[in-house]
Amino acid sequence: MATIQAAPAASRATIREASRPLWRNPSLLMGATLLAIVAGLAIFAPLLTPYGPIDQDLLNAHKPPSWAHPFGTDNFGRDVLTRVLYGARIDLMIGLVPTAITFVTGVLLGAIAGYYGGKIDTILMRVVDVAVAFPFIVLLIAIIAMLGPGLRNMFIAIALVGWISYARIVRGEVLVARNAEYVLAAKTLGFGDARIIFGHVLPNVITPAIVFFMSDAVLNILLGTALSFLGLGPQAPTAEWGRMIQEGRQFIVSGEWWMTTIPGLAILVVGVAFSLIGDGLADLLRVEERV
Amino acid sequence: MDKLGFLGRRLLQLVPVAVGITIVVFLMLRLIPGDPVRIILGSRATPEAIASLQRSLGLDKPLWEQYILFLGNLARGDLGMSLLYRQPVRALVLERLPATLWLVAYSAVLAVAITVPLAIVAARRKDRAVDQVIRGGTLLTLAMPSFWVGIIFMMFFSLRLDIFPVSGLGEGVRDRLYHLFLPSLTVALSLSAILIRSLRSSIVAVTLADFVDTARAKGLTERRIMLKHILRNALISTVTILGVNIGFLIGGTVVIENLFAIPGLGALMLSSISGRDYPMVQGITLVFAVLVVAVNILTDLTYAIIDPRVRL
Repeated sequence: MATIQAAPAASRATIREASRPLWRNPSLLMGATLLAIVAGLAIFAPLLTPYGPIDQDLLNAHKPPSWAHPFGTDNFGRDVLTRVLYGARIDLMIGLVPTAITFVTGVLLGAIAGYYGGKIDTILMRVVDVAVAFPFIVLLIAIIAMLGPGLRNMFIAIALVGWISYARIVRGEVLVARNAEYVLAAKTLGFGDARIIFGHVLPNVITPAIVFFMSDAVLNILLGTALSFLGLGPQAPTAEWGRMIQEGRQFIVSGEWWMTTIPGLAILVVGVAFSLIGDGLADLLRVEERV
Repeated sequence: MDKLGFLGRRLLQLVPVAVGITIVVFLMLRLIPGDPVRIILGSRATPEAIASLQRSLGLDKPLWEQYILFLGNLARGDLGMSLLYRQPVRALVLERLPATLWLVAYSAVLAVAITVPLAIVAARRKDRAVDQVIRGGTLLTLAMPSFWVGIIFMMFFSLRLDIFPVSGLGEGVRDRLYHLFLPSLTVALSLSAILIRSLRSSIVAVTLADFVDTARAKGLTERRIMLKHILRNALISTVTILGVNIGFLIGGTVVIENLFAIPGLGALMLSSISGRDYPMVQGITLVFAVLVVAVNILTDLTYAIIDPRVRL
């Protein structure tokens, strides 16, 4: 009995351990703080700036950074700082929404394929083989080319393809776990498949998928802003960082660096925040392997 | 001879993937909300024009028959007609392919040139200051959008220092290497951030292997151990890791081609989207997939050649 209960008990212990040394995990702490700051700036954007994200002021167009406009203004005289703040709302969504969708579908599909094996598994692995034969962004571009540009279709495109990595990770873990003693014990006790998968297998194998969630969020922000830069994301006049870089791009020739540099730095900050959280989580959850 | 057999088996494994790729590319057209023919021709099209385009796209037949037809055309190398250019997609794609291949190959070379020395240094000085700095550098680079890095490069190297051109392809090999330097460097940077991490850990693993101890016990110099033993194994890992990330590399060129106005496949793909040139988008998507698969086979072969242990 002791060995049978060891696995779930260990994961519970991990969670308790995990909540303790948060301040001793500088990566996680720094990442979470950065992300919280960006989220705060996004939420309270209307309180932080006197301008609106699409308010044009043609008399003050193309202005370099000044006290009135700390990050300058764009070709329509819109305040770049304001647009970066409001843009955070969309770009944080690009980082989190498709990632969350693909996390859930990928984990489910991977768990089912790994647990049942057989035909379901074979089909899933074939689909994976085919999907990875396409460069990820090319597949996204192709899907958006068919569906039409826009934020919603961008999310649909990522949701259609992005689950692959999670399914692969979780399937591999479940393949090992399904022969573990605690699973056999649960089967012997007559538990249903759903109860075994959700109650026993998944809690023990989900860690790598959670860690991957953070690098995937970075990847999706980079992909999303790239698609948006290519004109396939939210349309004008929406304030979104990739789009802002696209719009400011033609003005680098006249030395107007702020329209492109600032939104790029914003992407970088959010990307680093997610990366740090990912590194921190990986460090933290490695406790489990030692137990 | 066994290498040939290896290649044969590898190609056989590809059959289901190849079928899958054609199915995906074929079904892409079905994602178009509404009637693609009406979307292409607009609302004022005559019934005759609609019927004729439907015939030429093969949309008037049942789905499975359309797919067989599509496969038959592919087998003859026919990728359909571009709606925008009124020319065969194949000819247009072949015209744009060299620029993309240049960019891909150049980026891969630069990425390896950046990765190998940095990964070796990081692995040799594991957990020391240099390793931490390189680690931090990769973390930062991984979070940078490549199109933005490209713009920063343009502002600095092209506009301020005026040492590299802002766009274009160049004529002749030297001029082309010069023109494509900044775009390739941009793609290479984001790729090497991934490569450095993997290569560093694989060198660390090799360093702990028994044959390194043996070499040291034989009294070989550290330099010789590094070059002849560790590096050779690290090179094998580099090829593998590069092969795994080839999709990322090729995908990266799509965005960068558009930024630096390089007349390659990625730029063609984007211009086809705004023109609703669906057959062109399908054709290019297919060619990109073929490219990834081809490079993967090439990687496997290289692997078999440089690693004497592979006797599959």
